[in-house]
Amino acid sequence: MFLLSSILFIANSIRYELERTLNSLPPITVQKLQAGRHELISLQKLDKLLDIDGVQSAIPRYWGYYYFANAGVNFSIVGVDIFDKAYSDILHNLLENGTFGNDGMLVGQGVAKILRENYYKEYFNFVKSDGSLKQVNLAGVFDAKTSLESNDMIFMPKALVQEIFDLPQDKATDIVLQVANKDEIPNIIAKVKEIYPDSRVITKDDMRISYQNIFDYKSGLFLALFIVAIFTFFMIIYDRASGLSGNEKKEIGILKALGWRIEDILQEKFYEAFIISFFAFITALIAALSFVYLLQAPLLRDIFMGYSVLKSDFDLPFTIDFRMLSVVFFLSVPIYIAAIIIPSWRVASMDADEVMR
Amino acid sequence: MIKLENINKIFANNFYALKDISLHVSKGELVLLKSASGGGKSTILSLIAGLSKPSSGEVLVKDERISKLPDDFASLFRRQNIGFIFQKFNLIEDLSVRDNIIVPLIPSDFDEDLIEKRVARLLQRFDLSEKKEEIVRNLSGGQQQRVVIARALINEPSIIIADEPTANLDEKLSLDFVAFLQELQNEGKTIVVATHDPLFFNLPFVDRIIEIHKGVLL
Repeated sequence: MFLLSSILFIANSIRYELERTLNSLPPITVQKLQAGRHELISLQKLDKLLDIDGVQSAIPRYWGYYYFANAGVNFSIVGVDIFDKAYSDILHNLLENGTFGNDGMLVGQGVAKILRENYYKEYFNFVKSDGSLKQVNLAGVFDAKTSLESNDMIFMPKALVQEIFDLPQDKATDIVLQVANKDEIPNIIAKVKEIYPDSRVITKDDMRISYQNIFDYKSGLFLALFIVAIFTFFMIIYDRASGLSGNEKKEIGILKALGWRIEDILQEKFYEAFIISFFAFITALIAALSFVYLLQAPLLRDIFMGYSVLKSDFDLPFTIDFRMLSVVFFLSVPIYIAAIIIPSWRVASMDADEVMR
Repeated sequence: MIKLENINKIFANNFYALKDISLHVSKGELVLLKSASGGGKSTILSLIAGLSKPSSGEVLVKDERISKLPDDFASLFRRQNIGFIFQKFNLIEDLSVRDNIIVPLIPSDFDEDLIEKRVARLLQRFDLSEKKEEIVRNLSGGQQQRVVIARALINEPSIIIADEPTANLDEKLSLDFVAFLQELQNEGKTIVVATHDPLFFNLPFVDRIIEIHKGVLL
């Protein structure tokens, strides 16, 4: 039950994380392709994109991956505008005066942890493309409820990102479009493709499929573990249901000899099985909660972290799905009770004399 | 009080444990069933207590045809009328002395105070008051035997059935048991004891000894 609950908790956390990540994605992202690869996109395209009917806003994004060799991980650096609605709330909550100045950065918990471990407690020196160093101060850390995606992120002013990655002033990494009507998205995509045939247009649905593929792969592994756990549990149940031990049979015989009716014996067995299985259920649940959310699921965690070895550390977000708890409850408690009651009923229905012999 | 009429009990492979047995035990009588091991005396006790059914014939206890009663009614009848003392004690080893004694009362709707009064009386009578909360597994053989007798009396039954009650006791403890048996007889209980212990056969207060050999009354 512990293993079963742990697997379900982890899978649930990832699913929750996936949903959260997807909800925060822009409806349309426009990227430039050159020779089939993602290239920087010209800011001159902004006006034409804004002219497309249904497009509310077109915002350039500045981001890239920074490889931190000391820890062997990639950080995602994102350039943000403090007036950008998508980030202004976070920045105002975490930073004094709502700004990190010209040389500050806001980092996810995973990044903060890795920097701390490498003795970068107040600042970090980024190596620019020309080999020189750029010192950026640590202005703040996201709170503990940071997500899988933002956990390895670093937010800093756009100008700093451009400087560190040596991005030309007239280009951005990609452009995100906000739309007024979701039904218009296919038309807008068609229009973008028509105006800029060298562009790749990614919708939230595309991202959903991409993330879902990763999740499905992971959940396949979990399914295998889940089946092993269920199989083990049912083997135990089968062992219980296939017959009682000599002592258990003798006990039922004694009770019958002392005047207990079959229903009295079954009632007693029901209470006994309920107390044992419910106590086991609660204990397994508490142990699984502690294992997954306090200890961050050692060993099991590596299974779903496998696809992103370059990602920094992150916390499994705490989420309880009562439907899932019901599944674990109904898979365990009533089945265990039945596995006790059925053989007890078979024995109690025999002559007490026969049972005791 | 107890009447067996033309009882046959046949086990697997057509083995006759009892052959055409008829006997009668009157109210307040103390009767010994005497036979060698496997002679059929324990089978007679099982039939009287309704623990098993005869292959043919009829068992009447207090005018109730116990051999015809459905299983649950036989259990109920046993609970209300019969106290059983087993050869191997048959205590529930993980329970305390008190809990073992009250086992027959658990399915009944007895008042808690009444149960405690009866338990206290029996604990005192059998000198077990200080062992009340002791797990029975930790008791000596003699103490366990006294718990078994107390358990048999908790329902205040009119019939006491004892199957080889001294088989696991030394001589002194066996004599103690005989003394308890006489007390029970003096209280007017009807008692049937299955035994092959010679200790019982010269007791002055025994009313009758019935001998059985290979399932047949001698």
